[in-house]
Amino acid sequence: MSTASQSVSDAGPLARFLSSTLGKKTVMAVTGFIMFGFVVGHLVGNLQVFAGDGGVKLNAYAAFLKNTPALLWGTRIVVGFSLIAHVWAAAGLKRLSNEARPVQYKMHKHLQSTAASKNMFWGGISLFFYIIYHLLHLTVGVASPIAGSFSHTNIYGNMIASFQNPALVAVYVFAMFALGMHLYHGLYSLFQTLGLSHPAYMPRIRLGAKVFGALIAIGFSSMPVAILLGAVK
Amino acid sequence: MRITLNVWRQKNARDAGGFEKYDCPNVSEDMSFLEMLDVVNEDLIAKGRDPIAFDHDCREGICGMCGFMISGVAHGPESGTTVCQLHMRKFKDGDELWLEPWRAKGFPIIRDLTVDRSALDRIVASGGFVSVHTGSAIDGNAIPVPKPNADLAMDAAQCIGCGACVAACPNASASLFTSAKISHLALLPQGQPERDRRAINMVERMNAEGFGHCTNIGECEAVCPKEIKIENIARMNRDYLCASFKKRPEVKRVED
Repeated sequence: MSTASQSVSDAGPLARFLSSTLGKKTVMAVTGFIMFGFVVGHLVGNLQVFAGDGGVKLNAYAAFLKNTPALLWGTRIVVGFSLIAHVWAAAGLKRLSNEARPVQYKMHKHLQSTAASKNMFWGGISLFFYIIYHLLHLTVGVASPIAGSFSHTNIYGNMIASFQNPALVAVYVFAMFALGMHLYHGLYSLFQTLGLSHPAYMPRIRLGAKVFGALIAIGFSSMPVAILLGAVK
Repeated sequence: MRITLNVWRQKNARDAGGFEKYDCPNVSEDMSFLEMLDVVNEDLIAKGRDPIAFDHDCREGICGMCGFMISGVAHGPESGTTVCQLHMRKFKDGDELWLEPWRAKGFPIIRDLTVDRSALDRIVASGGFVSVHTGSAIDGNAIPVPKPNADLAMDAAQCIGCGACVAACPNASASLFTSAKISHLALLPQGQPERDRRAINMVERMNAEGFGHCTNIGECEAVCPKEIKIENIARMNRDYLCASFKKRPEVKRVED
C-alpha cells in the first residue's frame, strides 16, 4: 500500500467518503436534488405574476416571505450551502477528470450520450454566473437595468420594468434553457448516482427528468417573455 | 478492398509518438481486423521496418487482450464485438481509419497500440478474498440462488477486462469495469460475507489508480464488447454508499 492510500484509510469515515469520487458524486446528487426542490418552489411562487391583479398577490407573497425570516433565511442558508457544496464537488471531480486523460484522442466519437449529459460542466458554469447576476438583479437590486429604481417591496414592478429589455429577456431565456438541460440530465443522473436504479423504473425516471426539465425551463421563461410581449403589465 | 490506416506509433512510454499512414491495397473482406494488421506487419517486416505492436491473444472475443480505438470508437463500429471479432466487411472500400491506443492516465502506453492495463488487475486484487468452501465439491443445490440473480451475476461476470469502457469514457472512468467486478459477487450468496469491504476497497483502489468519475452518460455501455449495463454502476454506488455508512472501526491487523 502506498503512503497516500494509507493516509486515506486513517482518516475518519466521512473524510474518507468525501475524498472518493463516489462520495463527491453523492454530494452532487443530494445537493442538486435540494436545489431542484427550491427551484420548483421558486417557480410556483413566481407564477403568481400571472394572477392578473397588477402584482397584488405576488407582492403580498414577497411580503409574507420577508415577514417569515425563519422560512426565508432557512431556505437561503440550505440552498446557499447546497450550491457551495455542489460547486465544490464539481470542481474536485472536474480536476480528477482532466488528470485522468493527460493525452487527448485525435478522434473520439460519442455513441449514445445526450447533449445535456455532455454539457453538465459548462452548463453548470453558465448557471453559476447567471445565479450571481440574478441575485444582484432581482434580490439585492444593484445590477442593471433597474439598479436605480429597484424596490424592495414592489417586486412585481421590478420584473415589469426589467423585462421590457429584449436583450435581458434573451439572457434569462437562455439561462432557463441551460437550467432545463442541466435538470434533464441531473434528475436522471442522481438516481443512478445514489444507486436507485431498476430497469423497470429507469425509463420512467428518464421521462420524468425530461418533463420536469422542460416544465421548469418553460415555466420560468414564460414570465419574462409574457412581460416583454405586453401580456403581463 | 483498399483501406488507408493512420496508426499511432510510439516507441515507449517516454516517446512523444505520432500517426503514420499505411496504404493497404489488398484487404480481403473476410479478414478480421487483426488479420488485416498481421498482413500490414508482414509487409513492414519484409521492408525491414518495425511492425505495429498491438495486444491480442485468443482472437475469439473472450480473453480481453485486444482493443484499440478505430476512428474514435473503442473496438470499432460493430457493437458488442471485440476488435479480433470485427471483420473487414464492416468497412467500405476506400475507407480511411485512425487507430489509437486506449488513452487514460491509468493505462500508460507500452508501445504503439498496447497499453499497460495492470491497474485493472490491482482493482480486482483489492477486492480481496471470498469466503467459499474449497474442500470437496458441495452439493449443487446446497446454496439457493434465485435464477434472475444468477443471470444478472453472469451478465456482470462476462466482463473480460479489456478496458474499452475506460477508453470510451470522457472522464477515463473505470466505473463500468469495477462495478461489473463488484456486482457479479454482490449478486450471489457466496459474495455476501465480504460484500461491504469489497465495495469500499475496490472503489478506493479505482480512485487511487487515477481513473476519473462517472457522469452517467453511458458511453461505456455503448462500446462494451460484452454489453455490460450501467445498472451495475448504480449497484456499485449503492453498495459503496451503504458500506461507507455501515462501516465500523476494524480491529487493527498486526501487519500493514
